[in-house]
Amino acid sequence: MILAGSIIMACGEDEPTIETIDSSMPQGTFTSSKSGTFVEQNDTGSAGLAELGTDEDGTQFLHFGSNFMTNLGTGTVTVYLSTSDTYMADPGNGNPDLLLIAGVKNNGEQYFKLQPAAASKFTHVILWCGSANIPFGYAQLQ
Amino acid sequence: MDAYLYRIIHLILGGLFFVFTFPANAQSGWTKGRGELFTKVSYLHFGADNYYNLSGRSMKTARFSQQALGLYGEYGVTDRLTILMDWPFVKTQGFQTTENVWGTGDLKVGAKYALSKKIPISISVIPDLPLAQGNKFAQNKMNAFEQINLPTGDGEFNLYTVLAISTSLHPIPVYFNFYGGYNFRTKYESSDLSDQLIEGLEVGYNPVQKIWVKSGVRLQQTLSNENAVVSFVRGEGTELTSIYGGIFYQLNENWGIDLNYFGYLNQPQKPRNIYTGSVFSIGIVFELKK
Repeated sequence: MILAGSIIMACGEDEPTIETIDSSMPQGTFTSSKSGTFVEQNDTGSAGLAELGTDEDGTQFLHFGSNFMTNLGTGTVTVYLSTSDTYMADPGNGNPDLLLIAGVKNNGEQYFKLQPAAASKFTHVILWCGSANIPFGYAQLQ
Repeated sequence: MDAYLYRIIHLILGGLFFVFTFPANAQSGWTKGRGELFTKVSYLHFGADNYYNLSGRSMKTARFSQQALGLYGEYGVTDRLTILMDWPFVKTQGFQTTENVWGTGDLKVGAKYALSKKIPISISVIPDLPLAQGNKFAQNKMNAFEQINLPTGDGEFNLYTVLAISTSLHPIPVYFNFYGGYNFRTKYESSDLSDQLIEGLEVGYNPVQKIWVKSGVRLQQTLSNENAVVSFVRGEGTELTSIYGGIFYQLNENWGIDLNYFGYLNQPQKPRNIYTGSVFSIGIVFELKK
């Protein structure tokens, strides 16, 4: 989600400018607390950095580095936080081992805002193709 | 050509056109007589959850299914020249986790020329026109933001060239076809697609009046190790060994029913980038003979 608030700043006496703040992005510096590297599964080419951390406002984000990549030739891949490196769905009990984050359409750097913050039990990021029901990769956060 | 053999040839003409991108009609050395017509309307069903990826590793996925209605036709312009077309005019496909997408398939229109009639040898040149939309996204049923690209065509222009030779065991009602083909592929968007080689053998037999049976094996190889990363339905990097069998029942002089089964083997050509499962088809045949 890209959404924003607006702030009017005075750069000159007669020339106010409008700066758009993207509230889906970290405000100020992003500080990583846990990180890991993606391990590919099923020859999908998944690779790159995953980080969990907070911005200067204390909001939690999941961050994929600019070296993040996976096979998106078929469409989208869904990102989950997980308590293990294996996708373990349990919809009858509210999927306690998974936290749905977002769908990914592009490779490269991206941030995912976690509000409320994810529970500390989640130790892995999983890339999951929900249409074919196969894993594309995982990263252990430590 | 003997009468029984002439009819038996028709059995092989339409059976494969949904399942494989390779034009099955081109795989015999015989051509039609001048003014003769063969048409077939078919329904096909395919379903599988066993997928071989580009590295040849098998994996279980959500079930993928495909159904299609297709039209196949050929007409003898001269005794040596036959024009043909092959068009799955309705295709629908999807995973059990997604909605189904609908569309037309790509259109093959080409010609087969008899290089030799005494020993039946033919060469076919068949352009494959990308009539189908290059992208069709199927929405996931669980997550609204998740989708998968399942185009009903491969999104590119390609050209098949096939050399075929046939022989019969007359007076025993048995025929054999041997064929080899080259699929020249072009581009999907910015992705270069790899050319393919195809080889096959087919045998047909007429055990009793009005009934013909056929069986065959076909191999396909990809001529590049640098395969573009695109949806599996575009067939990039696909390699396979397929087997098939079928039966044709002739209702009368002009009409018949054609039933076919297709499956896959792991040898001699290991499967890559393909769902392997059972394929069933049924077709209604109409033909005019001189």
